[in-house]
Amino acid sequence: MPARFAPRAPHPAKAGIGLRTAHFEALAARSPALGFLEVHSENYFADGGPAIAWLERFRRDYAVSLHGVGASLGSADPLDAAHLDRLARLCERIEPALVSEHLCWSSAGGAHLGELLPLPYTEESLRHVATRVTAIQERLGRPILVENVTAYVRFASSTVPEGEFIAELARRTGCRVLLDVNNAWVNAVNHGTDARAILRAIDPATVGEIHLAGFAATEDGLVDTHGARVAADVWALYAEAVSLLGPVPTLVEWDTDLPALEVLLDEAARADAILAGARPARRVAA
Amino acid sequence: MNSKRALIRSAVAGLVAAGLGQAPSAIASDGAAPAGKEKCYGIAKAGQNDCGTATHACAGLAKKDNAPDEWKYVPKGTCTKLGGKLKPPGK
Amino acid sequence: MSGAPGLAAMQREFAAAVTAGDADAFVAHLAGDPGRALRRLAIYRRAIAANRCGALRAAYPVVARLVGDAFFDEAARRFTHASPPREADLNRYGAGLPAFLAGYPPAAALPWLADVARLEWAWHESLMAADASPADFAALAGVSGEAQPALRFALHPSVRLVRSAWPVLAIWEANQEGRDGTAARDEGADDILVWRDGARVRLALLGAPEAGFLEAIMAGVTLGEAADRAGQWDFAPALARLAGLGLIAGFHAGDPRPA
Repeated sequence: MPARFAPRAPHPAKAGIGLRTAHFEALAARSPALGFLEVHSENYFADGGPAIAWLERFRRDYAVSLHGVGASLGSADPLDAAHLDRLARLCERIEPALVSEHLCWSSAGGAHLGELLPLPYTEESLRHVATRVTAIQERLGRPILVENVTAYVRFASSTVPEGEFIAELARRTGCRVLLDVNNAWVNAVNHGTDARAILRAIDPATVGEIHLAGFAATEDGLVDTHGARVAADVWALYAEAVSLLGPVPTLVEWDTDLPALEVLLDEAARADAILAGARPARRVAA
Repeated sequence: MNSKRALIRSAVAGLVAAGLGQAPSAIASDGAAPAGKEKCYGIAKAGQNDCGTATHACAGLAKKDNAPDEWKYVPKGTCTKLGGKLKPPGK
Repeated sequence: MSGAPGLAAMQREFAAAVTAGDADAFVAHLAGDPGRALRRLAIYRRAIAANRCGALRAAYPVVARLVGDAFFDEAARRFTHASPPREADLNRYGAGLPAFLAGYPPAAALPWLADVARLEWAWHESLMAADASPADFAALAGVSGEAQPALRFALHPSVRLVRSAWPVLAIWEANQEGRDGTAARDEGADDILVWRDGARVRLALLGAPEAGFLEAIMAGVTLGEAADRAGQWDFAPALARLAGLGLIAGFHAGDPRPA
């Protein structure tokens, strides 16, 4: 890894929150104790202006995690070099503790769909995603974390469970895992599968971050809105994950119907309480 | 030609006299509009849009798809207040 | 190109299913109950449409207010079908909406709408443009009178110029938050300077000669040529104003392009 990186590691037993524009002023005024702040990388891709200036300001006080929604790891379209250049530039400016992307695809035929779309879990997908993860890691000069996504549909052609797919991806590329406990729960409920299967499949040593968020229940199933408090079932699954993995930097994500900063801090404190009870045993150093 | 030279010379001399321009901070709160007698408009729009990037987190939970209807082709916003009054200047 | 032909085919079909409404056939690729899979695909379809439309709405709030939600959403839907995003960052999506609106028959009754959209896109670009320090003009003192006409200026990256045959600044201003939409002027051909001052994008009305001069400087012509285009009009105050706002980021004598 390039020597210029001096990542400020997130506090392993202190939760972070998603940094959103509406909270800039309140967060700057209060400077609450948080493990880290996470942003959507693309919202800071601008050449200049207020957004990146705010992020640099917060970076003085907090470890920052860059969470990309646009690299489109699984797309059959070529990797977007200009997109990766902007991500690399942002990494240089912010020196993030963590850089993550989603196990999904977002564009076809050059048209971007603006969504995290699911992949069939096949050997072809695995080879393809592994090649691209490796290319991105080489471009950035650092490992990335890959997150399990919400998948409202599953493919008849899938040959392996999601957890095994991710575990194998980590083995082949050296990438780390961003375990979204809410996504695991939403998928399990929507497809009638076991939410704990992914916990069993993934090597605990590869998990570098956990995501928590709220969903909405609809007649078509649970929808991962990031627009509510974390559900009781998801807290329970999180507690299981933490007891298995030890303390892992945990993010409370909230994007839709953003509440006051206090609500996010309250959710983060709840995660802190669970992290505080975890044994640090089973993990190896990052 | 000479008067043109004179105009250029005086414009450049003005810049030299002005010296170094201001260096704005990117996180400045809303200050007074910069110098000039002309009206300057500050902006209320929040700026960067958090939903500008992909994720279903930002998507609406609409229960139904919206089918095109005739009324979607009739402007129904504040433009009614502008009526048919607006006109380009007669030149 | 792709080493994953199966994936490429699936993704093309998936994309068609969730953007063009051809979902029935695609359901054969999905596991589980077909009816339920179809309804779940609709979650993606609605989310994709909402994300794209939301990006346009964020960049064009005045246009959205001027035409109302239903009209805007339908125009956005048609625009995104004709010109889907070509990159992942939706903050950069929507440059083509003004041209689309100019040729959108239902908007024909609002001939100024496309120009309002151009102003909003200029605002949007200005917000995201690179930062730059103002030039130090001390070095200009060393440029001889003979060399001065060959000077070229580089403006701050956030500078945009919007020229319209309509009073679009008045329309824009009347449709900011807290305003009732009543424009203060119903006449005027507005030439508008757009720039970023720290964190804020600002707009100012220019006179036509000043706008013409700025247009020339932005096009990268020499000061001499800009002066020729200005005729008898004294451009010195205009240049001084740009400098006073910190919008002259550099200058160069002699070379084809400013540093």
